[in-house]
Amino acid sequence: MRTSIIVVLGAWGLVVPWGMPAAAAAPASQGAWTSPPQAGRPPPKTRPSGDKAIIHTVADALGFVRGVGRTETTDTLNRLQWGGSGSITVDGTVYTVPHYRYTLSLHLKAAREDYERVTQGRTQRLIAVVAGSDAWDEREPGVDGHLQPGSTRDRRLQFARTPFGFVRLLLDADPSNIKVSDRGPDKVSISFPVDGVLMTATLDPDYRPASISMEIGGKQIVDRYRDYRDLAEYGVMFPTRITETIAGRPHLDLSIDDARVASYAVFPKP
Amino acid sequence: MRIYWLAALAVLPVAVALTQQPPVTTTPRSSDGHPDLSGYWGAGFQGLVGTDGPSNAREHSFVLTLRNGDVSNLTNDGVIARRSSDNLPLYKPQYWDRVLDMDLNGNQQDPFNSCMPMGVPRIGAPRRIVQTANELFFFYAVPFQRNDYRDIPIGARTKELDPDGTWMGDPVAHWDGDTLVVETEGFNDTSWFGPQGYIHGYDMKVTERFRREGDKLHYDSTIEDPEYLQKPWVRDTVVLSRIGDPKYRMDESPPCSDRDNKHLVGKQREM
Repeated sequence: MRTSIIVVLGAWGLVVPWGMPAAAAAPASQGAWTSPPQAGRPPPKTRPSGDKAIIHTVADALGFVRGVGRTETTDTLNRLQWGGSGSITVDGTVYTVPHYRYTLSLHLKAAREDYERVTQGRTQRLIAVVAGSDAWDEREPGVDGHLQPGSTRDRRLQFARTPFGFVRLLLDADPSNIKVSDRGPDKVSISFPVDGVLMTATLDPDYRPASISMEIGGKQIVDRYRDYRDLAEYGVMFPTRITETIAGRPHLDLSIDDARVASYAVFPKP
Repeated sequence: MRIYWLAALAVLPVAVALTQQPPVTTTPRSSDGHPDLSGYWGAGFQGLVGTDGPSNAREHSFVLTLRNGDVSNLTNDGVIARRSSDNLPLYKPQYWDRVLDMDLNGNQQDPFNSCMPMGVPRIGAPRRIVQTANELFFFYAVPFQRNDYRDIPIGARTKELDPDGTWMGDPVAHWDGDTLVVETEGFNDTSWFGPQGYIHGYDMKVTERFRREGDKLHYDSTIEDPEYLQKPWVRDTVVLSRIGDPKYRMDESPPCSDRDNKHLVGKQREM
């Protein structure tokens, strides 16, 4: 109790004027921060050593770590959404994707991929949802859902190939199933199985997933992520360039320009 | 940012009081035999803080400590924590994007940020309850706003619902065994029932249930809105601790000022 009160009083004593937003309360000239508060997460100051430290660094580099000391947790980050535009290649046909949005719930292991694809003037909206062990398609978000049980595994694996899905599942995984390989700077990778499929992430110099790959049905699927930015302004780092190849061939190519720490995302089973 | 500091201040008397007062193990009853809910109760600003004494203080330490020495983390961690619950109102699909956009642009859109009343049920549980046989008075300590109150008849509604609706709605209470039930209708469609952009219509109905067990007050609330919600939303139970310090009184609230809004350049929410 006493400790808590001291903590409260300690925070109260900080020189932050009432009514002043965080950004405005941090004049750069005072040098109180090494970087502007909304500039995202700085790279790790030292290379982590050991599996546990590396996994923690990866989680922190994406924005999972919240709180401090005994109240530190990686569980509060839950609903996230990112969107943008690009192209998708299906059966040799290249479609323009003017609108792409992926929303997930890390707690529920649920996701909704919602995009429009255009070819030869025809626009088609595709919405694929997975939530736990259920998968379904929708005409519009939450509308006219019809179950797609045959797609559940693919969509669960797609969730796992996102940086946030990968790290959430990594944090929940049995440590004995996790293999961390550290062969020097820029040569760190983490592997563990998801639904019986081995997922491997290679990390960039900031310890964020640069690629997440898996092999299923004899085909290698590789998702590459780069140019992470704090698009939502909450210290959550979203990749702004996403590409996916299947068996070495381009499948998805996206530029992400909108991301949210989403307050609202629901996945009611139809 | 403003909210956190005052919320921190708000919990202090609760924490101090709990260290000074012996626990009440039996539930006091009023002369009419119902549980006596009168008294001061732990900070009830639901959605921002927990309200259960010592454990509540621990939650505050989570919000208030500065991760990596960066004060912006204090705000960010709190905002994210308040958006992590899996207990969400199930809106009709046509409102999903609107709720998201309201939250994204909440610095400008949230009526509370413009000094409008927080309204019921966002205001949470009352700080003080005054109970008589025929009526109840609820008093609320609202950070950065004028303290608010509700005048609640027990039995039957004493006046017609305001056709334009109000921020706090028109409540009426009854006893369901040892549980006090407050049903409120007659809202405007301007307030939010949560800081995450939770909009609603004129037909919103809020049912609050209060059950006292010794030093604890269990507060449950359910929101119905057939225009906006697919089904009633049952919010998480809040357990409040009695503030037993006889010297405790609600302080005068500071005047609200919305001077910050026009200066905010980002979309980063503060609450």
